[in-house]
Amino acid sequence: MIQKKICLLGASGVGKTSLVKQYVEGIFSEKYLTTIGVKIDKKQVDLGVEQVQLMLWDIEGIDRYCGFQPKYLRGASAYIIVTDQTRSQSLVEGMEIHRMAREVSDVPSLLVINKCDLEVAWHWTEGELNGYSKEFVGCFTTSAKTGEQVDDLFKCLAQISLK
Amino acid sequence: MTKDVKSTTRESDQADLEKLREILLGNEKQQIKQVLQDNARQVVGDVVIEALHDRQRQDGGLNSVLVPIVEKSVEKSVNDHSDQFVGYLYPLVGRLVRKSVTAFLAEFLEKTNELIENSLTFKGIAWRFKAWQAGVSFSQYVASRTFVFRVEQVLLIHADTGILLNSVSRNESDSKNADLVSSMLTAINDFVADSFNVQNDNSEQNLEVVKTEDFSLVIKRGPQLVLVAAVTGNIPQDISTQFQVSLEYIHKLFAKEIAEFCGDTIPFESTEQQLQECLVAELHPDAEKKKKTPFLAIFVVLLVLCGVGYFAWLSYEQNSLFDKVSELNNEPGIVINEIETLGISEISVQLLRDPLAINVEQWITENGLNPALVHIEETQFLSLEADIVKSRLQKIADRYSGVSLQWMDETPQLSGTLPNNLRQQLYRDVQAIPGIDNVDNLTRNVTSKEIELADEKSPEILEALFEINAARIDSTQIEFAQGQSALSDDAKIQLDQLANTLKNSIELSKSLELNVGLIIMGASDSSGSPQFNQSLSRKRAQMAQQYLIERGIEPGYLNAVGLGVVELKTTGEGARKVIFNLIDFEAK
Repeated sequence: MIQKKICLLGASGVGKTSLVKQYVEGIFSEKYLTTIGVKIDKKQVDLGVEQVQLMLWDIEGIDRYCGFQPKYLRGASAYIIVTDQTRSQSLVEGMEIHRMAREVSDVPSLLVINKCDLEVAWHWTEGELNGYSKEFVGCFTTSAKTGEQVDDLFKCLAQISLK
Repeated sequence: MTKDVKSTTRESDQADLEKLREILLGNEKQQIKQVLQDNARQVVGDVVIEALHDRQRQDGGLNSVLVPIVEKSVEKSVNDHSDQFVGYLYPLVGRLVRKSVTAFLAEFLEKTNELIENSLTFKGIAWRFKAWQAGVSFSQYVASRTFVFRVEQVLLIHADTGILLNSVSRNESDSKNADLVSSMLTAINDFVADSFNVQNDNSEQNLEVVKTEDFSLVIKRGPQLVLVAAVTGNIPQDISTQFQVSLEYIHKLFAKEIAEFCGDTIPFESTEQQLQECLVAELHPDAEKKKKTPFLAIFVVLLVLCGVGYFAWLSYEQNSLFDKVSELNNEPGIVINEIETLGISEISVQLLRDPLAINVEQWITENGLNPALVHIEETQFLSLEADIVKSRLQKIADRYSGVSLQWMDETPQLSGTLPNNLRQQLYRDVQAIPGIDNVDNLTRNVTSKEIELADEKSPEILEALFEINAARIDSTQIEFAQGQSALSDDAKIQLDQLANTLKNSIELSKSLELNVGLIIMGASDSSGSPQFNQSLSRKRAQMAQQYLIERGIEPGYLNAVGLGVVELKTTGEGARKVIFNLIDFEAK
């Protein structure tokens, strides 16, 4: 079976772990996340022609107090930058992480605007957002709470990871 | 400057060498290549067997290469020509099945032995307690005590991605989440490498061993692959080295697959062979010692056997008791309604019993059974079984001295002599026995014995007897239908009895020296003419006289007279009767 390593990156509190939780039922306690900064789950995605097992590396939120750990990106087939549409800062930090990730890896990446079940509360205009999304293979507006677009996001991830 | 000269010299040497090669091989280079190619088959053919042999001897590497190829070829052959293979295998299958069953049984016995040994020895119980104290499973504890070390699981991990390429384990359930463990281990390694990066050069810090009290993860790193062995006990250095060698070997064999790896783990399935070789173990010196006799186990097994034996014996006893008690049903006069087992040794019986049947308690004792084990609920009834009817008859016969019971085949016959009243008593008694009909035939041979009795008596008693007879005769009256003189059946029976009494009286009269005579008086009612009535009354008396003569009474004793119409003055009813009177007078 094809297995692919996928990384979830983003600022603290944007909902990366919730996004994975919505998608899989993990066996490891979330204690790992705070201990070593990464929590790993797996999920099989059926792409019709073949099955892909995604190894989802949920990497601890990165902010100005906590440095980016490039080693976790090693060997990844794709990564996603998760942002929170209720906090403008989350996109700034996300783009910063994306820039750092680009330095060590050239794998395809997706931009995820999470918490779409809440009111939009950041000041980014459509034009600005389009500008940022151009740096990614695609952009998904998701909700870890309602599950909106979550399946599509991971299906797309599986597809781009195969390319 | 010197450097320059040196390098110039090296370059010119190189050029010279090329020139020399050109001169030697030059134009023939192609030709030589051609010749070599043409003979390649022969050249390789000459040494191929030896080469294979040498390589196998050298490091056994041939196996690793050949086994997957041969397996694939066989698989293809079987798929393509399955019918043929069925044909080849058919004669072997029976033998194979037998062999596998034998092997299974042997293994099963061995495992049972092992289980008993580990569970029911004192050592086993102590280990169980210690395992419980230490909070590990019993099997793990046994493994740790039995083995110096044992490799439980081996993982082959792609170093960069942390993706699990293949894994083997002793216990199937261990490998369920091996892929997550692999990734996690990789992440932990990254974490450690990052956290403790004390050196300033580029060399990375890596985990080599993760160790707990009696469990270690031995991590061997290659350029692209990581081999992780989960080991219980203390692993010796040479085994650790062996992991490294295996990993290097896998690197070498799968160099192409590793280079082309893009997440597909299927090509690495054939690393199974190498990984299996890493699942090694070494027995504890104690465990290799001669097996001790598990006394506790033997004791427990014996105890269980004794218990089972005792219950089996009780059950057998109860069954045989049941069977024996059931035979009661064959006894005459006993009918078993219900018989059931009670507890583990007793029997309860509900039965019907004729009072003349054998006593059940007595029967039980006589048959050597324990009366305490048989509970009897008895209900009385009268049995019609031949044996009981017989004994009932016998009992009655015994009550009358002078009467004996004979059996002609199955037909009973009473015979003997009895006083008249006792004879009648006997008749009634016999008639009261259920299941006996035809009492007349049965008692036919019992005769009255009044005379013989009388012989022995004093004249006063004889006289008294005579008087009784006379009174009995005088009280006899025979009824007739209106205008009829024929004897009815009742009349005949009365006359039979009268004849007997009369005979008796005649005999008595002889002893008493009396002359006797019977006057038979016929009477009629008033319907009809006086002449007719007169003749009818006489005719009735004569009919009775005639019947008595037929019963053996001498005619000289009988005097028949017709009284004509006899009417009771009080009621006016006529008497259609014959009445008797015994008259006597002293003989002269």
